[in-house]
Amino acid sequence: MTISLNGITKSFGPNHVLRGIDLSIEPGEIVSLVGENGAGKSTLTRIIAGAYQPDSGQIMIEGAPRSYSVPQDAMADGVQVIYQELKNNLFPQLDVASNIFAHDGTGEFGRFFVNKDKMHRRAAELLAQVGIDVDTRLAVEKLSFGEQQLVQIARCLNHSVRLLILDEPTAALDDRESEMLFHQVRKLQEAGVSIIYISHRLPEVFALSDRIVVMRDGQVSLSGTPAELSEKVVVAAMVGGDVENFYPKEHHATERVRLDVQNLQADGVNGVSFRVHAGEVLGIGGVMGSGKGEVLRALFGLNDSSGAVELDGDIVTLSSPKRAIKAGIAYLTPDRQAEGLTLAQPISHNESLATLADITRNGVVSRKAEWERCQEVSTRLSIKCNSIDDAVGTLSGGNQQKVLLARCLLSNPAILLMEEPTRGVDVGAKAEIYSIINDVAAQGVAVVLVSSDLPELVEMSDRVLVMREGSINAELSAPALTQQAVLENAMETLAR
Amino acid sequence: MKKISIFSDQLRAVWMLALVAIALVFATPLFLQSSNMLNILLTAAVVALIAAGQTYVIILAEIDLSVGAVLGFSAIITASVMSDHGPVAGLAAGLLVGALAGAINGLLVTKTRMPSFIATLATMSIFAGLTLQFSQGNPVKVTSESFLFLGQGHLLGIPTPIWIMVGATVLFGYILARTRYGRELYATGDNEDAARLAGVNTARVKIMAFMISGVLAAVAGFILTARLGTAQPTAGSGLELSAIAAVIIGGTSLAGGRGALLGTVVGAVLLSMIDNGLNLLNVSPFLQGVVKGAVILFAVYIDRNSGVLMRIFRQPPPSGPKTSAGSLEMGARARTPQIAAITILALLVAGAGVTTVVRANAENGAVGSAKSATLVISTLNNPFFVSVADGAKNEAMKLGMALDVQNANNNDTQSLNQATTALVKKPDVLVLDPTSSEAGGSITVQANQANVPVVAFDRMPDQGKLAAFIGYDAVQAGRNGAKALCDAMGGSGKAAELQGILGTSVARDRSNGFQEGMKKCSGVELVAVQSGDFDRGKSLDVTTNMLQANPSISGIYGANDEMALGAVAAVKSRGLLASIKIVGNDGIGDALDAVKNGEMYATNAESPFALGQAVIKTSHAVAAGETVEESLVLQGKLVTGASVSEFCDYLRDLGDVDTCK
Repeated sequence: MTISLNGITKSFGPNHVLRGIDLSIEPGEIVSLVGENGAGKSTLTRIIAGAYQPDSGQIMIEGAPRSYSVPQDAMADGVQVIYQELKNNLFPQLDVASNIFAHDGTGEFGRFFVNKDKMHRRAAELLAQVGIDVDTRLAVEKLSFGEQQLVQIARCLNHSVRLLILDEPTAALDDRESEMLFHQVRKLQEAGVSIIYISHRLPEVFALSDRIVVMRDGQVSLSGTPAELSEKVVVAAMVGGDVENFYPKEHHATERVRLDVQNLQADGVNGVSFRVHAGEVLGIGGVMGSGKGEVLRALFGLNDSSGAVELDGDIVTLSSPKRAIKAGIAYLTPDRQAEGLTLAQPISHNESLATLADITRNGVVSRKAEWERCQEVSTRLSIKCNSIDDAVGTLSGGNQQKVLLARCLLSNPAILLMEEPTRGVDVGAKAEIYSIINDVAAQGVAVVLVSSDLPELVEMSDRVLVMREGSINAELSAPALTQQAVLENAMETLAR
Repeated sequence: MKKISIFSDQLRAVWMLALVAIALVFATPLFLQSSNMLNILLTAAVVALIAAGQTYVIILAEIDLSVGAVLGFSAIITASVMSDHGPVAGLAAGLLVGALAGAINGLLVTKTRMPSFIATLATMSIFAGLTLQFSQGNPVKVTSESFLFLGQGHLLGIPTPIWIMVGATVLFGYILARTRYGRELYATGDNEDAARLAGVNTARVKIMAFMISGVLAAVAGFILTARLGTAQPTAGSGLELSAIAAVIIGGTSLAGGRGALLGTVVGAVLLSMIDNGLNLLNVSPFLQGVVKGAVILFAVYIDRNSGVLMRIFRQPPPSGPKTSAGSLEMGARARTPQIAAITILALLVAGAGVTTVVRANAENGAVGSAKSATLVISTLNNPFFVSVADGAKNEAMKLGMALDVQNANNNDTQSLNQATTALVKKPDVLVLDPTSSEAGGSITVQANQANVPVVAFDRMPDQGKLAAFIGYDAVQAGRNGAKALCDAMGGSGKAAELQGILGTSVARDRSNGFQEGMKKCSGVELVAVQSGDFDRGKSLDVTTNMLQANPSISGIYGANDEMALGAVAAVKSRGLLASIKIVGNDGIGDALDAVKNGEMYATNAESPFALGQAVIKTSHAVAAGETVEESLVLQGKLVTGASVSEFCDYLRDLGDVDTCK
């Protein structure tokens, strides 16, 4: 359908989030919205979806003005949203079919007693349309992230969607799953559905969209077709200046072996051996389920493991995170909300949590020592906050990630294990995290970087191990280290 | 460094406290007296200490339901050890029991991965059972002066429990706010996985928190024991719920990771203030629970809708898009909570005002020589005591005496607190139905100090000076019951006994009298003795089980009519009514009916209505300064099918029109 927005503004208190947005989308058009966190993308989509009401401006659908007071109004016009956080959309413990028909108001399967067989048959048809074959009686939480996203697409199909908004749908997906999702998005496009696509991943945006709209500070700062624009221009429009080198890789690798792992066995890991040197960034790539994350979790003592691990020449036993931290290993989890941060606690408390022993005397935490070291590290990592006494939950994703990184750095680790360090983080924060990685390496720390963001993995690592089915399939370093090579080694069997 | 908003989580409880206090200041002049302020704090101490420990557990997003039972267990152990080895050993043993009980809870929660709700529900039952087994249901008396100082002493004119409460708040508040352990506690409660990944030994943190909860329950037990002068096996029961309410009112989140001790203690004081205010205002004992529940709801409502107070006081809402979804929603319906809050506040003040006017009128109506009395009754959940209260009111009306009735809900602490509050009002006489002899003793001593004469009935207080005591002879009641049952069974067969609440003196005395009487009835064998808790429903179940185990039983004695009627129901459902004789005690209306239609053989009728009248008659004489008989022992009257109608006529003559209908 044709939707056009005229002069949309929205403020929260003194904070002007949208300052007059004009945007129109044609039937069958894919418009990508890009911008740093806080640029106003989510607020804009929430207004279109009826979750917020604009302060001024107008939404026109097929040329007629519309005003939505609740999301159900927008749904009635065929507007559907797939939000970034899966838990906002799906009921994890209900089965696939129930999720697909969760908002079904037609009473098609009976108003009080549900005709289960009919519902599961219909669900299977919809799933076939989106190209996945899963048991419709399975609880949704048992599915992979990619399958969960496709279940949401199937739900949209059932609702005769006319405008689909996807808010960072691929944040948790690997490349193959993303590709399946894009395939479905294109099919919807061919059927005449208008699509608003929000993502931090520029290659995806360029591959998928008909038009790219860059938002900055509540306004549209750039708009054009992929052919007219380049990644560099888009990034510049997002951050409001020129970003010369997006991956500011520095090389600090030395010959000194800091971490020596021999024949590591753990859940999902079958006999992995590798060494990491002082100042080196060792990348580990692979598809989901390849065991790349499990290697880090085993080394950090989160999963049971066997094998020989030497740290600076000493044999270490890593049976718990506590021991690993003591031995000099820090681990940056890929899921900062679920197992990284304590969101209700102050920034400073989060930063010092792993190193309280350093600033505790007779059981009492020295507030002065804590304040000084947290102030220092927060400044060093340019964490944007009013005060380090603010709760972490009030920060943006990028700043939250930096708080977690600050915790890792405060323990002065010999080894820094990082998993998806820039997941769900805006462009500016990404660049800052990369430069932190450089600094850490320059101090002689051995860094292990696990990432499913291919450009990041290839550009930021000195050397990359590619894992497949729990084993190392290839070791790549320049000049053989390319995105193409990583991909080929990660998916060798799938390629046939 | 840290900005503290006057509307922050912790201080919201302070606002609530201020609101209730203001309402009470307008409602009654008695409230603001400094002695009453100290009473409020004194009566808050026990719950505050338990709630302080509970705060640690709730910050972890866990719960400890066993605290009340742990309090009772450790109190009994403390008192027992103290009687043999002195107060220091007693205190050490009590603390050890608290710590061990907490460690067991902690280990269950961390090592077996049981939800704490279930694990502590189970240990609550275990600890309560161990307490009864260890004490055999008997209270243990404490005589050590230095120990009693913990509950009854004063420092600088302020009662010791208040000092202990303040000391514990400072110490455990400091641990929470400033120590590494406190940090790890908040982190674990906020996000256990994250804490583990940051190297926190989360299992150790949890076990420690449950141990702190157990130790503080033990300390609360010391205070309660020292205030009562005795350790009661059932002392702590029910306190866990008050403690949880105090924690939640204090702004600590059940979801974990948020909260602090100051709010909890303020919450405990608020609960105590509400009780105090309701007592001072003579709110009907039946309605007190309703008012208390409403205030708790209101406090939690404010906690969950933090914008309400700010808008009432016309503060600008918090700015910024942080909680954009929430603030928008609230903006749209900003008026509703404001109106609700003001309405509730207005109702509170209006209710208090009306009560005052009614009170004033009542007082004016009986000018000059009119006497006033406060009756603290053990319970109003039992028809016997309801009838006592009716008789008392009936007699007070006749004599033109103003009578307040307070319901202690069978709880020593509540009884003590209500009496303490009542003494603030300086009645001409305090009429006391003690929940236990020991609690009654403490109350009597207090009243003696306040120069208010005490007339006690039903149970004899174990210390202090009474103006008079009136009671039925409980041992003789048991003997009467035994004789009646023996007659009914024709002197042979198998019999069963249903005892009252273990640990109460009435249950003990009636059972002693009954068993003594049965020895004289040599042909009847007593094959089963179980407790029916003076409760009809419980006795129905117990009797059903007894009949299963001993199908040849042909006689059942219930130590009160409620239990006898429970037995009737069980026997009836098995179709054995014809072959099993049932004898009860008390002579309540239902039982008289049952005797009349042959379901029960007899009841040893102790007309509660007559008791209530006798008590008030004596009390009025005491208030008027007349000399009275110091001890009046009433005897029950055995009522069988043949004498029911005669007995009913007698009751009607007394003015009791409710019992026989």
